[in-house]
Amino acid sequence: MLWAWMAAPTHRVALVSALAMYILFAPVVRHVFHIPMPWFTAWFMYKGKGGGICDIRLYERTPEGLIRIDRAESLGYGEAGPMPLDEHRVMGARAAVIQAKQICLTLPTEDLRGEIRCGRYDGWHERYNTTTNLCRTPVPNRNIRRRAEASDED
Amino acid sequence: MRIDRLWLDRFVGYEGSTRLVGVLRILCALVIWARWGQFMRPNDQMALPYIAVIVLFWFASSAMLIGLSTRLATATTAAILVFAYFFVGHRLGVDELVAHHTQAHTLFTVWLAFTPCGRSVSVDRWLAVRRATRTASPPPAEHGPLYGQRLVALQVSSMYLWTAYEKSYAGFLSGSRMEQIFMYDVFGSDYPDWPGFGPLMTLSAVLTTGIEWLLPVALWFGRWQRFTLPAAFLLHALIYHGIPVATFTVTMWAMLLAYLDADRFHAWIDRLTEVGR
Repeated sequence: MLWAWMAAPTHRVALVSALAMYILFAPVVRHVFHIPMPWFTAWFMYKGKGGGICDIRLYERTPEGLIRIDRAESLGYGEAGPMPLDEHRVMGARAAVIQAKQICLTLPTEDLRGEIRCGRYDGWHERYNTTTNLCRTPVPNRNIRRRAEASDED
Repeated sequence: MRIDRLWLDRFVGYEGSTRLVGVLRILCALVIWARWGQFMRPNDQMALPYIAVIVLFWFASSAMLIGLSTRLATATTAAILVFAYFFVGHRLGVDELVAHHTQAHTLFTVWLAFTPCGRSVSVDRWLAVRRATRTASPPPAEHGPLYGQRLVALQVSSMYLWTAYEKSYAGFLSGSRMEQIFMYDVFGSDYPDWPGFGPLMTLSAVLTTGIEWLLPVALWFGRWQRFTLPAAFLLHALIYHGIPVATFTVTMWAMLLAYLDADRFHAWIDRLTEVGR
């Protein structure tokens, strides 16, 4: 049995030292060298969580200027609580523009502006500002790379 | 004390009361059930060997929980988790099994298997005491080699160390990634309009990373534990209430106990149980 073998001091020192080295330094393989080898443990802890979410502030352009639009209200939910999850948290610029176009129809308005920035690993990235009319802007193509980045890695 | 003597005496050669590892064993088994129980259910599409592994898992983890043939039960549970996490999860690509929670449970159980965790708070202990009473001999000492307890503590240090390493970049420390995580889980795509959200996220990002750099070393010093252990417990409590982390918080709370001094823990239990007799 392993435990009987471990009773010998030299065996114990060798095995415990090897296990301690594994615990402390095995993560180097995936954290530092980025080699995907599962036997070498890694502790990323929500590294990718929330990546891809967009911060959306919408405004209707009127002769009086820009008027802030409440997303939930303009989509007919009244408040954020009853919103379906995929409308409450919009993942990626494509989904943000699709939702903005939906709001153009439900308000209705022909001129919807927005400050839209989407999250990535390195921080926020501005996607649209108030110079763009979201009712008329084309829907961006699917971006497979960005979708992959947005996935939850826990 | 020289570093090699410290290593040999306080880590590899560490011995003491087995009560603490007995408690760790019970907590570990309960956490495993809470997280792995949902995966360990046979269905009609499963091959017979997998059903056998699942049945063995329930027998072994139950025996581990109550402390019956504890060492064998803990080692068997550990082997099944290693098989499930590394082979079924990673090799066969069953994503539900691959998460830092499940990785932590697997390693926690493996390192516990190196401890005499059945010598205290277990059916094994109860049987040993009954045997000793019958033969009018002293019961076996609740004492043994505890390098396995040290390995659990080292595992926690490694987890803090590498997660701190992973957070130490501008995107996280600026608070942006914290904002994204909280918006994803709580606020949705509407940036909270209450004042101070941005600075609060920056502060929490810096504090979290700072604490995670500090804890891997500071937790080893007994004198500092009156500050470092509550800080670590509080950190995980805040994480639990901030974002959905399932069993991770309670796993870390259990593993953090491995830093305690085994003999002082034993004496503390004695003091608690002797009062009011």
